[in-house]
Formats: sequence, structure tokens, C-alpha cells
Amino acid sequence: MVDGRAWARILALARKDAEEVRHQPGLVLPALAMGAGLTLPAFIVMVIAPRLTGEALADSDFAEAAEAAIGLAPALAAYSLEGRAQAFVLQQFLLFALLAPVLGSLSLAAQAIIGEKQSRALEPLLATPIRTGELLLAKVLTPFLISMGLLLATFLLYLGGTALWAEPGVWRTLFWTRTLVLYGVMGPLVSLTALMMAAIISSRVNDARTAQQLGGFLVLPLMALFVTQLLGQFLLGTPALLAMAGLLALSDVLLVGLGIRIFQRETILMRWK
Amino acid sequence: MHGLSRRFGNRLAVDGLSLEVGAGEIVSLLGPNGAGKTTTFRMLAGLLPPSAGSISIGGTALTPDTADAVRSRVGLLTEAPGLWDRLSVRWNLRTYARLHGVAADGARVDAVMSAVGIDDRADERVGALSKGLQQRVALARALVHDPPLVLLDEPTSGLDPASARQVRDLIVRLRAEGRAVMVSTHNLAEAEAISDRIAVLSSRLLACDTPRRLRERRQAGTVVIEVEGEAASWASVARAAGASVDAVEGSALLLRLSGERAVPDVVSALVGAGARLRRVDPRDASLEDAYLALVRADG
Repeated sequence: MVDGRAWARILALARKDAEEVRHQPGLVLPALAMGAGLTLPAFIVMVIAPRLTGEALADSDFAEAAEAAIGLAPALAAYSLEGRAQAFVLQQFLLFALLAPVLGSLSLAAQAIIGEKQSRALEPLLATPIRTGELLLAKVLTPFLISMGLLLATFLLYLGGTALWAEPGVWRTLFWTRTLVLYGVMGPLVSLTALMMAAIISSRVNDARTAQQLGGFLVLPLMALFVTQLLGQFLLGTPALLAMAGLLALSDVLLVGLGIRIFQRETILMRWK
Repeated sequence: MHGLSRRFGNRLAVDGLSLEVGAGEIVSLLGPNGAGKTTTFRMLAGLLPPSAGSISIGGTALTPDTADAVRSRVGLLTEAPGLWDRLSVRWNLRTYARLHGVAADGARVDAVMSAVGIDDRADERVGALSKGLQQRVALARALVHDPPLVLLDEPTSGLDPASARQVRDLIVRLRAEGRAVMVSTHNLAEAEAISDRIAVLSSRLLACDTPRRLRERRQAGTVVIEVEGEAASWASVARAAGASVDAVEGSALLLRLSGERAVPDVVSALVGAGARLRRVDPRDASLEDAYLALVRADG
């Protein structure tokens, strides 16, 4: 049970972490740059490649795949051939957007925990009335909120780019249920997975980069999903995404449980390296 | 604390430690590395549960249920300052004040910064401060919630003499404020200067007394007696008078004696046997003698 005093402690520590991030913009900027960079491939395929090759997107394999996807997303039928193909490309590349909060979470959470270890600040912290569950929550809160900011930033970049370069009205496809599930459900869940993995790994290593590299394996399943979509020229529908979100939520529950065990006072003092 | 023990695997780090510390009292813990001083502090601060025994702070027994409340009555200065280097002194202290539930209006933070003499550095980055000033910030952190019990783990370790002196003065002031203070240190002179009592630990409590009584317990003082000519021929006379001869070097006898009458008795015996004395230099047992004797006796 998290009461008012507990929240005050959690927020005190989370505010401290946010202040430290403010003093180290280098922690967030790479993830922000990565997020911005990850929006580019969709626009390269959608805008730049047709101009370079002289072949409209409507004449490419993407248009055929978009036709086939109308069954999955009937709203596609309302657009021109070019618009359908553009919407299809946008939807395929949306999975990339999830990498921004993952990378941001890994980087920030690893630093938030390993930074405390390196400065030997954990013992005085544990001598306060903060409970170990509160400590874990406080340590992931700031990275989580910043990661959600990164996710929102990539969404706005997508939206802005689509409004600017795609056929009129294609931007509306970014408000489909599928997109909202990706951004609103899978984004936070995968970010939490990354945070918990970073927290757990950080308890065993003393270098934030090592923690980030180990946690980076989380990127692989996302990349695999993306490549599968791209090669198969299909879209994962909302039910499939929700099923994956369910699996992510389950793994998050397990990871939080493991994190709480690792964040016991005695474990931190005696077993953390 | 009563019968306090803590085991790590097969190793008994603290063995049946019983000790009471009163308000307005400074008790120093002395002991070799690995004697259990830090483990004792960690148990008192509610960081580690004891394997056996009990702890009561201000009448409240320390249990898993009361640990959070008890922690707010204990101020712990850890061996390493463990400060957030990128943040200012004020940010460090304000965060701890909030963690302890102290009103966030900043008045207590200002008061504690003023008490340890860092109020003029409040907005400086902690990482830019000298080690002595960082230690004062860490001390302020241990006091920000106004705890009645303060645990100081090697508070002057690594400080230059002037900074160490300032920290010692602050510790003495804590006693004047009526706090119970426990200090873990390897610095015997420091322990002797500031402590009301000294507890010698080697996993178990070997002794706990005032510095003067600890020295007196050692009893056997040493005396250097310089005679005319070779001292070797007088060693047997000194032995017969109850002294043990530690060394004979040229004209000097290094004797170990016990009891108040020992020196006059030996001098009288030597003079009576015809020795001509040039110098008698009695040396009282130091705290170091007493400490080493206790630790050696423990094996």
C-alpha cells in the first residue's frame, strides 16, 4: 500500500533523479536523437525513394500489400492507391518508434542505479525510512516518465512528417486503434520491461554501458517483429498487438517481482557488486 | 542493544554484543578491521537484521515492523560520504529531509547547514567541495531529521588534521545537544579525546569503559632506568623487586611494572644493591597499550 508519506518519499527521490538528468543532458540526447532517427526510414521509403527511383509508391509492392491489408484495416479503402500505400508503410514502420523509449529507459535506469552504486550513495539512502519497493519505484519513475516523453516526441515527429509529406488525410491513420495500442499500451509496457531489466542488470554490474548493452537484447524481439512484417508485407493487427501486450504485461509483473526481491536492503548491502 | 549477534554464513561478525548508550554520551567503538563495527552500526540503523539479540532505541524495540519508524530516529554517517556529487549541498540535504518526512519549507535544512558551517556553500555542487567539506555535508545529512541517536562510521578518516579537528568539534557539540553518539574509529587519540566511554570490539565486546579506566586496566606501565655502567648486572635485582625486564640496552633497563608502589620499590632495591641511577623515566600505559593488550589477549 502506497500512502501519502510513501509517495512523498518516492517523489523526493524521483525529483532528485530528474535533477541529476538535468545536469547530464547527454543521458537523454542520444535516445532523443535515436527516436528522431527512427522516424526517418518510413519517410525515406514513403517520400525520398519514389523521388529517387521515379516509381510512385502506388506502383510498388507496398500498394499490393496495402490492398491485401484492407481486410485488416477497412479504413484504408477510403484513400487513393498512393495514400493506401503510404498509410501501410507508416503502420509497418511504427514498431520502430518503440525503440526510442526502450533505449531511453535502458540508458536512464542503468545510470540512476549504477550512479548511486558508484557514488556509494545507496547505504545512506537505505538508512532513511524509504521502503525497498518505494526505492525501486522511485528509481524507475523518472526514467519511465522521460521515456514516455520520448515516445510522445517520436509520435509527434511521425504526425508532423505525415501531415507534411503524405497524401492529405493520411495523418488520420496515426489515430487508428492499432497505432494507439502500439503507442499507448505497448510503448509503456515495453518501456517498463526495459526499466526492470536495466534495474536488475544494474544490480550485478558496475558500468552503465554494460547494463545498457546487456539490456539492449530487448531490442532484438522488436526488430524481429519489424523484419517479419516487412518481409511478409503484412501488418500485425490490433488483436495480435494486444496479445503481445498481454505477454509483455505478464513479463513485467514477473520482472517487478524479481526487482522487489533484488531491492531488499540486505541484498543491496551484501550482494550487489 | 542486548546480546546482539550477526552471522554471515559460517562467520560470526558480531557476537553477543550488549551495550547501552545514553543521551548526551559519546561512545567510541574501537577494534581491528573486520571486528564488526560497521555491521553493528548497520544493525542499529535498521539496515541489517540481527541474527540474534535485541535493539531498543529511545524505548522502541527495533523489529521489522518498527524499522521504518526507528530509522527516522537514527542518523547514520557512512564510511564513504555517498553524496550526489552533481547536485548542490542544498539539493542533497533537501532530498534527505523529504525522505525523512521533514517539512519541506527548508528551515530545518538551513538550520543544519548553519550548524555544521556549510551554509555559505549551500548552492555549490558537492563534487566541487573539499573532502573535509563533503564530510560536513554528510554529517549534516545524518542530522537533517534531528535524530536522538547518531552513528558515525570513521568520521575523520582521510581528512587533513584541520578538517578532522572541525569534525571532532562538531561531534562534541552533538553530545552537548543531548544526542547519544556512537563513533567507530581507528584513531585512538581521537577516541580518547572525545569519548565518554570506549568499547573495544573484536566480534564480541572485549571491554567498555572510560578511557582512563581502560588505561588503568592495563596497569603494567613501563619504566626506563638508566644506571652508571652496564645495566645487565642489575637486571636480576630488578626482577627480584617484582619487575619484568623487557629489554637491557647498554646502561638502560626497560622494565614492565605493575601497581602504584612498583617504581619506588624497584628504585629502592637497585639503590640498596649499590646501583648508581642516572635517570628514572616512568611511562604510563597508553590507550594504545590497553587496546593492543585487549586485542592480543583475544587472539
